Amino acid sequence: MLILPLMVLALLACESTASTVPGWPSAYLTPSPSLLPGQAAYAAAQSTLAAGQNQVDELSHQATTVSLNMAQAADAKAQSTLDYNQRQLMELSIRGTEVSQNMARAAATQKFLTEQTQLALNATATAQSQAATATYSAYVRNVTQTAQAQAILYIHVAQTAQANATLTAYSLTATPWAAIQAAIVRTRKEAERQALWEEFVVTPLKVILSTVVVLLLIVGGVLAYRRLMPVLELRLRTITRGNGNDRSLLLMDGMIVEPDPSHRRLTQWVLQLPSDKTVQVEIIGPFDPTVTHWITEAEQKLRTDGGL
Amino acid sequence: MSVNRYLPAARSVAQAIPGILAQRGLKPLISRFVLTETERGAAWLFVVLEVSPLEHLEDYAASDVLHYLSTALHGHPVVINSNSDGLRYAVLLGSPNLLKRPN
Repeated sequence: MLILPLMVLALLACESTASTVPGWPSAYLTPSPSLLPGQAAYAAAQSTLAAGQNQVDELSHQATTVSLNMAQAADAKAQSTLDYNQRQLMELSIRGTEVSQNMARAAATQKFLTEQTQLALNATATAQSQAATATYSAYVRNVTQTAQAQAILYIHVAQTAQANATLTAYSLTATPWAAIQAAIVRTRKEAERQALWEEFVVTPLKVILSTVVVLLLIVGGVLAYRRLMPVLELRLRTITRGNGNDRSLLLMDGMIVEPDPSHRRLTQWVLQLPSDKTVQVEIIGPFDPTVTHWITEAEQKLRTDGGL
Repeated sequence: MSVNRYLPAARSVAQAIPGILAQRGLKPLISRFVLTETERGAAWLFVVLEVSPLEHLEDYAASDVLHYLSTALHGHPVVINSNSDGLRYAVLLGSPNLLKRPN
């Protein structure tokens, strides 16, 4: 029964004597988070909590001491001491309340700072992601722009080449001197082409045609000779007399002879028959049955026709 | 008198006849030449033909062909003989009648 009032008195004493504790920080209020930077504010809150905890311990110790004093005072029935101690307990209680408030504020400050830090980290990560995305987009955009620039460059190169070609053609054909040079070159190329044509086509063709014509003439001559020579031989073989008599002379043993033995004489024409074209003539006597029959038919036919 | 004296003339005619037939557009389908002389002194050269049935026999036996042959042979009489054993020209190379023909 006596301990409980003593505890209350001790708390009050701690409250009243807090401001007299040597070495404590002069200000326990935690600055507003908005007034301090993040790290410094967090450290200040941490130190506030530590200081508050020490202060609570010290207050408790002082309350215990005051309670003991009150007990002693009760024993001594010293009313003044009792009043003093009671007033001191009330101050301690007030001081403890302030310390508790400071600690609660410091804890809130720490929580706030932690949340702010997390938000800052999240914001940083988001910013980094956005930066990476932006970087990649910029890279893609740069690549696209580079390709477009290359395409444009190619177009410019092609246009330049076309312009150069046009300019060259124009310089070759448009200006009088260039036109003359072009004409000279064209004439020279034409001459070279004609020379090549003459050398490799016309001349061999002429030679071939000449050879073919000569061969055709030779072949034609040979054919004409073979075709007409028998007629000439026959014309030379039978020679009529100069007085118009159509009595025939006969070719005998390669010589033209007169058939009449009494007037047989050599003539001035002698035919040399080609030995390589000698045909086979069979000599068969008139008494062969087949030949006899042929002779009979021939003589009969000849008489019928009026030859004999 | 030997028939050999007509042999050169027979060879000449034999060589000429294929060309003459060719000039008339006829194939010289000649198988053999036979020279003979009768007892009366007529010398005949038989030109034996082997004309296939596909050929026109009347072309070889036409009178203008015979006349052309005679002309080409400078007047030697030419007749055509045709019977079952074949077709042949008979060319009279020499005949007593022709030789003793009065001028």
